[in-house]
Amino acid sequence: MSAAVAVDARRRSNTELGLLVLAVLVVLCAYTLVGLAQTEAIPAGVASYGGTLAVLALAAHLVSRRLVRGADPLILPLGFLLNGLGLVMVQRLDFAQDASRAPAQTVWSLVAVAVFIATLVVLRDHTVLDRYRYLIGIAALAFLLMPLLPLVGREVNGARIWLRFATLSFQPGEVAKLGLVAFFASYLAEKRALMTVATNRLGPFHVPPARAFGPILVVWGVSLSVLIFEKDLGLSLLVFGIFVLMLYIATGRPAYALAGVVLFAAGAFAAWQVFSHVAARVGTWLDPWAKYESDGFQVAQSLFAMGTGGIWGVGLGRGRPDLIPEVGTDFIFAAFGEELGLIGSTALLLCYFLLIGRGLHIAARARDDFGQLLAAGLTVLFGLQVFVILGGVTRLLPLTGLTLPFISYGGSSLVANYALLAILLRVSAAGGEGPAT
Amino acid sequence: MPPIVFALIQGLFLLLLYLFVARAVRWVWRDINAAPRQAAAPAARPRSKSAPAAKRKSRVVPRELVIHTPQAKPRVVRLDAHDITFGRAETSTVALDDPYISDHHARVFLQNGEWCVSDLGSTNGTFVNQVKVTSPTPIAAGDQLGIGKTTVEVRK
Repeated sequence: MSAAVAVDARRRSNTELGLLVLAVLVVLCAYTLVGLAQTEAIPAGVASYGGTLAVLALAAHLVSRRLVRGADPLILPLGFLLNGLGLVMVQRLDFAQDASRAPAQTVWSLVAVAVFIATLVVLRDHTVLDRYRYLIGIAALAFLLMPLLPLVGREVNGARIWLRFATLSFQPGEVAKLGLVAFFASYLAEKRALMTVATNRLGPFHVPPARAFGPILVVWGVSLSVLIFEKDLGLSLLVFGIFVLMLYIATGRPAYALAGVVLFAAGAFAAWQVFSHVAARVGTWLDPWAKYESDGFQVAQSLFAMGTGGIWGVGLGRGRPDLIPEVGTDFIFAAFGEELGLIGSTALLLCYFLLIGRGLHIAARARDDFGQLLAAGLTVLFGLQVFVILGGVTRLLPLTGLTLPFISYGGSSLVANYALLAILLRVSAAGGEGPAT
Repeated sequence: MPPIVFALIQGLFLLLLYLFVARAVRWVWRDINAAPRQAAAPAARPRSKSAPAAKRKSRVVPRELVIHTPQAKPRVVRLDAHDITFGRAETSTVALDDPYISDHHARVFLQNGEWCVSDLGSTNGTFVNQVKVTSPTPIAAGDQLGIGKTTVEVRK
């Protein structure tokens, strides 16, 4: 049987390599297109660009082949493809905005792949995270609140979520999210049985005792304080959403999900009443044309861009993404919608769906409670973020400033997401595959 | 540069992008379909290839069960004509404290001189060699029963 397992592991590794090669080719095509559209010539750097991508992909692949044998072969190629397309788009926006963000983003990609490798090398067993849960929890909370500190904390565009040391700036919240998921997973794995027991009756329903709702209130408080003091709607929503969904996954009790929805509604309503920036977001969601010249401009431009793209898109490098404010970070999907059309942006969505699907699959196959909740939580973190920002850009939901994982310009997010993939692979390698013992 | 070149490269780009997605989806499809087949393989193979092999296997009469729980040390239960029930209820022959196990989960019993296992309508099911039990299933030494997070080893 072990020979069969080894063959299966090798086949998985080869699948991963094959998909990575395809991903590099796709990104190279995109790079060439942008060059053609902007400079009317095949870019001179196409060979060195391709070489760099291939070396990065190969390094990540070799490490995953050695250190996480038999793990899911789709996770890394999907992340790498999205990262590559994001890089091309950031470079394309540089042309449009006469900016120079692409070199920084390229360096961040190198750092992120290095972090991916380092995570696989250092974290040989995901249950280590279970053992240091309080340390991780406290560190995550500290990271979350760090931007409030004087001197190093910075406020950018109204949200105080940045740390700045000399020229290096960083969003500690991106890393804090991973720590929080690990802490929640460890906490819930231990309290799962306790919190699942339903002793009280509420009409025809059995509900857990009032005491069991304590943690959900605490997390609600933390996420509200993020909203109030850091004015970060997205992070606040993520922290609370992850906890409620993980609690539901751990216990299977709809009462918690319901309590989460009620608390969320209360918090959202209060925020809408109290904070002008939240009210403005809701207003532009309901009707972006009412204040087209001011608040609604961004969302309206995004809709125009996607409408211009139509089904086939205007061609990569041939649109006017510079007309959308913040197109490099929150609104990067609108640029894809314009230039690649419905057909290209659907492919991107499919990549996100596949990644989320594989994450849930890893969670379902994990052998230990902690691994299961960790994988599920990381997937929920990733999926919720994609859903919330794409919902905002397409006007399905009010806009909440979050980065689109792997694609948006921004180093902290990229690094955190590669670390997320590495942890998922670690859980995948530890559980599920092969015969049960 | 003629516009046709751009259009061709754009087409190539979309083709490769969808090729990537298609390959990924195909792999997912195979993985999902392969998983149960792989698990069932050890039990199914002898039966399909040669019936006598299966018969020979089922003649290895089980004499004891070894219960492996995630928390406690393995426990041995003798098979001696009496029924053995598994569940979270205190009244079960083997009471197991596991949130994945129903109060009355599974039963191992003697039927026509053969030991069988049946599921008692549990929430999460009972498995023989990772195959879900839907009707009373004969067990033989070497089989593994899955009940919640507990594995029960059948020995002679």
